[in-house]
Amino acid sequence: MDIQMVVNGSVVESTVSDDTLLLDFLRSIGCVSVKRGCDTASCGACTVLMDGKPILSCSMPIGRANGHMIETLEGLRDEAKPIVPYFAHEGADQCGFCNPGYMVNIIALLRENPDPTDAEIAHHLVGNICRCTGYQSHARALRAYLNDKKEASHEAL
Amino acid sequence: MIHYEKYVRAKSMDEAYALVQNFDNVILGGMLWLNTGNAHYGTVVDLCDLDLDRIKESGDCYNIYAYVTLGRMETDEALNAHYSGVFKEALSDIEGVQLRNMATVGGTVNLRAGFSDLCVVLLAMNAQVKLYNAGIVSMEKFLTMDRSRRDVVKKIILPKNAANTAYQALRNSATDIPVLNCAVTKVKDTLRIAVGARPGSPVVVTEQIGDAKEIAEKVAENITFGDNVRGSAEYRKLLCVTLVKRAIEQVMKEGK
Repeated sequence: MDIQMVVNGSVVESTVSDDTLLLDFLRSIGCVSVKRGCDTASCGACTVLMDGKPILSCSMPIGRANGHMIETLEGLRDEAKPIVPYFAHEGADQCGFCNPGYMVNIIALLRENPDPTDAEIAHHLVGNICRCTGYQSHARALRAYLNDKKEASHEAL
Repeated sequence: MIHYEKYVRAKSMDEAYALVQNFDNVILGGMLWLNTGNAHYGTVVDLCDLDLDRIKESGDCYNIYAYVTLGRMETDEALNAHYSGVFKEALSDIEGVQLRNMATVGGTVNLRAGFSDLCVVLLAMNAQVKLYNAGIVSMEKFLTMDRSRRDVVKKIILPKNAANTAYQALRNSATDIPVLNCAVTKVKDTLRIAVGARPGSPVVVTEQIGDAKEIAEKVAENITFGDNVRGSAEYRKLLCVTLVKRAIEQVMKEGK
């Protein structure tokens, strides 16, 4: 099957077998931030944005993704960069396997809702599983980032 | 993980229907439930080019086409305003936002899973399913139809008079499959009470308005429950009384 899609702002054309999953295709072109975790749409490690919405690339046939716009963490670095030190500081980054999926889903949340409550954060990130941290460090990291961002914007005024 | 030889974007419902008459082929839907199994298919049929990701209001109903995602139903403002937010309530605890952005209404309904949060709401609402070949059938009938007769779900028809619907469920943990779920729709003096995750297929009963606890006890008495890893039949029966009572109380409140 011939496919064409926009990945992280660049047009990508390729010929792939019909049963290719978006996850495998993205990794084959170097987007290795996209992780294979559960393979059954349960863990969120393979999260990417398709037309701006978070989806699970492990369950997205390449044929359906054909013609769409895909963003992986490689293309979202600038948006992720300010959040990363908070993840490190709060210990939300242990084995690190789940982090790209987390970060992509956090970016999707903040694009839609720049000032989420703790409950909204927990609800939005419930589809991302982490086996190291117990989730509290992710919540603390994001809260600290949002508080500091808010404070900095008040100071700027 | 699903395996298949060929991926086809159907160009028409005719083509999709013809393809799925071969039992080696399957319609993809969101490809989420299918991907949890290890089945091999010849051709997977995608309906994504058939303009089925629409919600259309017309006269006395809302038409929810088959490729509308659960995420869209959960967040659609007009739909939730008309139905008092019941879709947001019923769908927002299904896994994560990523999954709900992929799972389709058609795939969910066609699966006819006993635990389905959407099916139990549609059943209480007396929704109808438009099938490509068999035409329009009630949700109640659809749930018991012979699954060996292959058809294609085109859309769900929600009656506007089911605006007063409440949903209740109990999960052992957030995002898990419910131990029991129920939905109640009040139309004039009649209550349509649907109970799912029994764990069998959802069932519906009709009652006249009255004392919520008495109705809930009667419903629980007349429904069969079963055991599974999430709960026993005895526990489900007790839960049923509480959840149905709460849902009735919700619909009896003014504005709900």
